[in-house]
Amino acid sequence: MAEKKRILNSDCGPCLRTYIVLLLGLFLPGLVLAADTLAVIYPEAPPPYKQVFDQIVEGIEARHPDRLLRYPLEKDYSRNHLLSQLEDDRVDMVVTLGRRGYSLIGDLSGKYPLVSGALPLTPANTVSGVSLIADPDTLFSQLRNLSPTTQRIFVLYTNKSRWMVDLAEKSAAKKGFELNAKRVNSLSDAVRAYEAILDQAQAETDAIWLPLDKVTSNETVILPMLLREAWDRRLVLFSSKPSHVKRGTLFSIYPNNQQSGERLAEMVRELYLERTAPGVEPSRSQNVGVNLRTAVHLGLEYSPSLTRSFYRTFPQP
Amino acid sequence: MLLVGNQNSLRKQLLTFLGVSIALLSLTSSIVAAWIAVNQSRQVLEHHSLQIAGNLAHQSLLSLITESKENAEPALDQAMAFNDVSGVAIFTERMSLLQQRGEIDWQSDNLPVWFAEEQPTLAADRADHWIITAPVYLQEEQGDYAEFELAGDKEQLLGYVMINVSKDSLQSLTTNLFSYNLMIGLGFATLLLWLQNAGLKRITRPLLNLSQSMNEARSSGEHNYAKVEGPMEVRQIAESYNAMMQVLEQQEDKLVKLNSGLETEVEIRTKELTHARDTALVAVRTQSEFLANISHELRTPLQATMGYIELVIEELEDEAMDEPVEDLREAMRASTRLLALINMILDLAKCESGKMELMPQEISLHSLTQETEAVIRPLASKKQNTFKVYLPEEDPVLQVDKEKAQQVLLNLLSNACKFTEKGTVLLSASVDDGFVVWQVSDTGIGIPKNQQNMIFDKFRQIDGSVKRKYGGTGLGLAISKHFTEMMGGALDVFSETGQGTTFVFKLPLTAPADPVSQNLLSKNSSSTDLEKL
Repeated sequence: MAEKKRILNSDCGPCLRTYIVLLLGLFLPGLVLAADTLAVIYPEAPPPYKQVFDQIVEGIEARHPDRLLRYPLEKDYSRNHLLSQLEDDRVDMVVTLGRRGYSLIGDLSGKYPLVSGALPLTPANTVSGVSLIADPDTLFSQLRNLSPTTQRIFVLYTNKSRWMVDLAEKSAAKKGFELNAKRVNSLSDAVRAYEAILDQAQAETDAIWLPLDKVTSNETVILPMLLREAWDRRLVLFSSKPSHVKRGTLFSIYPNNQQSGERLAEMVRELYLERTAPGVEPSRSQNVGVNLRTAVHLGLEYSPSLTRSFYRTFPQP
Repeated sequence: MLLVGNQNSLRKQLLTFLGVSIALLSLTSSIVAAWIAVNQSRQVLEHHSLQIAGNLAHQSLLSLITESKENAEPALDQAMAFNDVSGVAIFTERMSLLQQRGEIDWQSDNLPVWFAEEQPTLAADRADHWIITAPVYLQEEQGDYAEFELAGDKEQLLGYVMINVSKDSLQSLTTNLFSYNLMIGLGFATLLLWLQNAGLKRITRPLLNLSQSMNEARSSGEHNYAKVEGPMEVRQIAESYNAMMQVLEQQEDKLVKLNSGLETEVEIRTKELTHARDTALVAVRTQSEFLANISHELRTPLQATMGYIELVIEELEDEAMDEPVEDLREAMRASTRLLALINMILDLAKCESGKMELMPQEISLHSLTQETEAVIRPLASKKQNTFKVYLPEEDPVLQVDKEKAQQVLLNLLSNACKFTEKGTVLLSASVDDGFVVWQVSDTGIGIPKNQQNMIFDKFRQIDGSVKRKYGGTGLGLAISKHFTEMMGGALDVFSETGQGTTFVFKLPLTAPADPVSQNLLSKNSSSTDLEKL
């Protein structure tokens, strides 16, 4: 059975707190919504992943300081017990984090205003929330900063990642990039398509973008092949997945957990008040991770002030 | 030759025992070590081969995704670069061959079984090679932490890889390990044996020296002292041995001194005894000669006297003077008894001085016995005794001194008649195993047990009352005993007081071949008798 860890932000006890809220409700009707109960359901994760969820919750708390109830879930938590606990606690809004929280959507949607976070959500998902996937606009902005000579961007996508390419096309046009996007259906198609891209890509002016797609950015087949070929051909390779920076792509965007939490709190409040779904938003984080060794190999030089602005750099000392 | 046995030295036995133990230990440890090493090598090779198959599976992803033989080449080249890999093959998901390199023995029928496992596995273990297979999965990407992913792991089977791993190196390694280990083990055992031989030789040298000292002492009989050296126990033995030698030496010195004293003492005593013996023999001989001379000197006038008495009796009878005749006859009887006594003393003296000689002659048993019977029968009837004689049917011819044999019988029978009144006197003869045996039995007064061993002594009768009542000189049985022993026979007595007496007189059928020895025997007996006197 999951351990329910319910925490109230106020220092006073729940009875006293309820009493005060009721009094305020009598005399200050405009402030009632601020005192609605928000439940955050998230997995009990081991370090260092626990820190990610804690930062998101802190972001939520920043936007919803009152009546925030936390429900950390063990692996073998009891779903029914949790649901009954939510009812007992008179929860008004729910934010789920991670896959364990996302698995409760079927039980929670319709009962509570609900948003999700800490997942690579796409518009295909029925729930609203903030995705871990970085906004292409942010990626392209960083590309302009980190590789000023790049003019053309190649990207392969599948149906699942098409929404991101739609956003990217708008952003590319705005930032003066030529986005060369091609849809593929399978991994073998992707291999052949990348071989074709590699044949025509030019160093200094062309870059390859790896979207968050398990086919077109396959880490077993595609990523090693592209890393090797891009290194040999001195092509800029950047990715939507932060872990790829460590492996050799030029840069990627790391999510801003605090910011995501704040946005999740705002989204669930919007949903609670306006009863309209805000949909899935990409991560607006500006935290860029850069592989300096790749940059040096590509002949890119960054000023110290620019280097200091990087969220992470690799290889790490 | 090294053997464990009591006949071999301690060093050899120890060396044999240690040598065999070390050889066994070396062989066992060599074989076990080789076996463990081979097993570990086999496990390492198997593990290594499984890793090669896993890597090949991983590297075959691109070729299987694209189903491109060209893309398979780098992965196959890399797998074939391993020494033990003699063949590799990549199969599609449909188990159709995509690309093969080197020699690999597979049949289509085998593939469903070989490709059944979901991880690299040893599909077939042949005599000289292994077939190792591994499935090729395309695994969907997984982030650092599953909670940041929407879906779980998904695997897509793309195909299979197969490698043929030769066991040549393993077999070569096995042979080398066993042979080298055995050689090293035996070499080490030999070295240890040599070292132990040297060590044992040094350790057991003091013991060997001690043993040699002891052997020398035994063979020479001298009291050699051992050198005290070596380990504590050997030193203790050597010290104990030396102490024992010292004690033995002291005791032997004492014995030598005691022996020399004893020899002197014995020599003195022997001389004294010889002198005493010679003195006694001379005394006996002198006594016998004295008795013989005296008897002779007495007999001659006595016989003259008796002759004259006889003449006087005859003249007086002619003149019818009966009264003086009767007195003379009494004098005559007394003279006769005196003469008999003198004769017996003379015989006894002859016997004791060794001058009595045997004169064997041939006579039949019946004749000798009957002549004796004729002499005794009147005597037996005097005291109203019944005299019976029993002779055997056979009548062997005896070769004996007739006079002496008859005298013995007469002595025995006259004693029987003398000490028996109104009883029975029995004389029986028989032949038994080369001897003639006479038994003289009576139903007289008998002889007490405590006096039976004295009746053959000279001048001895059972007591004084007997002598007074029955008379006699006490020499008859002593003379009979002498005569019997001279003739190579035996004389024994069996008697119960009041029941009677039986004398058994036994003589050989033929006289002894060496009468001199019998004389000597008689002489010795006489000496004994003299000593008794």
